Amino acid sequence: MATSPERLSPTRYFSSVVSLAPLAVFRIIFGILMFFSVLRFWAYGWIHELYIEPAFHFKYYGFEWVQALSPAGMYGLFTLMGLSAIAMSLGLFYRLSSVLFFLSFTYVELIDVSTYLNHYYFVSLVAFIMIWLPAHRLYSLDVRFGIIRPALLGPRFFVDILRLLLSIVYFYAGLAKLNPDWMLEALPMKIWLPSKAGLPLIGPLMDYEWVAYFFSWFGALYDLSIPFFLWNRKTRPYAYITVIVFHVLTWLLFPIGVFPWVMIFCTLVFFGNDFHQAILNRLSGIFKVPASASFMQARLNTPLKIFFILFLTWQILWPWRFMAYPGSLFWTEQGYRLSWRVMLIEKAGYVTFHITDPASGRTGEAHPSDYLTPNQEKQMSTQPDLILQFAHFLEAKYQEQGIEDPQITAEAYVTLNGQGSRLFIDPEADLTKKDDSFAPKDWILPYEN
Amino acid sequence: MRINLALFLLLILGLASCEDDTKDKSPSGADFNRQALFANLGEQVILPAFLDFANQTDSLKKAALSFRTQPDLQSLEYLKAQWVLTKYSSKRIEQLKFGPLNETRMYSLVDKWPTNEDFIEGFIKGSDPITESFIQTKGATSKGLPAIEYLLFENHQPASLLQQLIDEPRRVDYILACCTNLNQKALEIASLWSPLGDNYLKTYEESTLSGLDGSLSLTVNQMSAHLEFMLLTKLGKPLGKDLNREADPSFLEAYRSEISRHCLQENLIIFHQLFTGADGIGFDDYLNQLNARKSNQLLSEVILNQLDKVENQLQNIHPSLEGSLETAATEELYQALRSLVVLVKADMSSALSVTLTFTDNDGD
Repeated sequence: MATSPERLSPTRYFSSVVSLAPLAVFRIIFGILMFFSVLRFWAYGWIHELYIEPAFHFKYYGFEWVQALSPAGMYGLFTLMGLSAIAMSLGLFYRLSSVLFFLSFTYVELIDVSTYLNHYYFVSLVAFIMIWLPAHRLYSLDVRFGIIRPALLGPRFFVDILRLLLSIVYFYAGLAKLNPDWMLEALPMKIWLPSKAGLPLIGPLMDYEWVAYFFSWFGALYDLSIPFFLWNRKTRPYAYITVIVFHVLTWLLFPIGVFPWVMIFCTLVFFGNDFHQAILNRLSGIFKVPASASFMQARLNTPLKIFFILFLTWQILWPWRFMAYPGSLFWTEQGYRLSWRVMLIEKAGYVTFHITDPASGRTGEAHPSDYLTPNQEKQMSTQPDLILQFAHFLEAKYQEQGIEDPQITAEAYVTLNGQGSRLFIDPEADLTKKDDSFAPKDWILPYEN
Repeated sequence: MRINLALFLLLILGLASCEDDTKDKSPSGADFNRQALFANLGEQVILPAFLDFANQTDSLKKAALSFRTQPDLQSLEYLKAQWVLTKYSSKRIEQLKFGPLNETRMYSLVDKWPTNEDFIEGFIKGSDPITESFIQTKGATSKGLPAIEYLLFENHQPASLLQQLIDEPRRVDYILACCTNLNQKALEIASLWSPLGDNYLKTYEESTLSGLDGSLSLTVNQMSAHLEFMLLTKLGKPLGKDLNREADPSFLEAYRSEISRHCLQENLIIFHQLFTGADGIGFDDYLNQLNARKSNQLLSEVILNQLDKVENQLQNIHPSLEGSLETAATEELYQALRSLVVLVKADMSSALSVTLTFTDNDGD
């Protein structure tokens, strides 16, 4: 019995029960998408390129213990990831497979910050939530083989939490676009679109400034409004068509890999029971439920309810942490990651590290390209915490060579949204004496220097 | 004979393409013609550079043959002079290591330095006949321009060198075999781009998409990568910029012939031509079209000014880079070149939306 949530009190909302069909479909689609993502990653040689080849990996603060495995270990980890994704999709040993998928996927993502992508973060969050959802209680091999008793119905919150997470992703991506560069200057669209002018049909349009403004404004409006239109039953079909058009367009224009397809398929969860049941009916041959099965209703216990609410609260608050830092967010990037700031800025830089051996007075230079892959160098050049990590990496290198206390400074030039390169890091700051933390980094020069 | 015919055809084509109409230098409005940009660069800058290299290697081969026929001081000087011209030409195509020249890795077969003197001496001391086919089977550090440089410039005394070459004819065989092989490779390289060969020129002109394989990304990323190579390897290394290294002229690219400064100059000349499109449309026009700016000045002007500074600093170095490593002028050259690298690798790449990536990973 689906009742619109706005007419429900919290107590009634949490006790309301809906079909779990959207969860089952989500599980099947998500598992398949992730399986093909693993295959794609493997086929492109990125396991080797991103996790085996680099001699150095940039670490997430607090996750320094996450290390790349041996080549056999990395391929083994991706094999586990792929198998657990397909097992999740089939609903086979679901609890175990969803835990294994979350752990293997998240472990890989934590190996190197320079491979950070918003949609990988999204996948990790979804995979984490999926562990706790009864997505295997219907149309799964677990039910077919009698591993778990089937349940066709369950608390509405089980389905809504996925919709809420998707809504947060879109809405915050939209909020992030409400800045002067994006809205008033059409930056960085004005930089990115002309390079797409070679595309057939729409290509010639990309040279026009009004198109950059149109994309900027439409993108912001889309992100801010699409969750509401998807929640509303009347507008949902039109909203979903817009979802498809928008994401296919971004797929054509930008190198954002599987992200458009993840969003196109994940947003199906907004559709109602009938839609999902129709899909499941087609799959009943695979997941057929034993005739003797007795059906239960999935339950949401209080600790899990509180846990989900805390999770959502964290998701809502976490992107605002940037307000605790001084300076321009896009310049310092303090509080930038893990906040749904998707395709928001154009940034490039070049860094030279200067080393002094105080004992001998000798000076020298070190160049990231001697140690990092091009992608790592690109990411490091514009992100202060990565520049700091690399300075510490160099410090250890020189200490190995017998230089007890090397002083290392960074001469970094960065351009943001095509505004001309300028000094990024205090060139006098000895980075070996700076430690990473959540505290503001006073050695980042202000944007207006 | 086949090679000569091929060279002749390439030269005809080169001349024909050089006579092409001058392209409109001032694109306006939103209809900047990228195909015209790449057509101009391909036909006016890139293909002529490859043809010139094929030409120069042909002359070098003839000079080596002439010296073997009549070994005297005059033919030796002519051979050395022709080597220098070929080296300069090679420095222009070094900037063009993208597309097929990158994929086939053929450039390393013509100009990989430093050369391996021990290998070369070992081959000369051996008993195998030294022919082009012998050289063909050898590794990149045993042949090409640096190997010839070693044999022609290691001994600085002309009379003594001449006597050495007369006394040890296998050295002359080695030079001739290297020159012949070099000419063969130069023709193969030119044919990668030539409409009479694999015609990458056509692909280059038509590949206006923005992906990694698009001409824009390939050209700009190589311009940027090569400038950085000049900074770190051609200058930084000999200058002893590493903490644990002293300045050492033997790390200069052509320290035996003492033309390392001029080699850098040639690198900059082709960069300049690519950037300005020589007499046609270049990246400066494209940046102006995009209204790319730095400090309220057109980015193209900032880059050209910095390029001028680097070229002027290079001119200030006397008599050679080899003899001026630890001077203020060379340090200023290094700093000026670093500023140019920043402008190209950060500002220009960003303005043209080609920042990196050598890894075709998903973005954002």
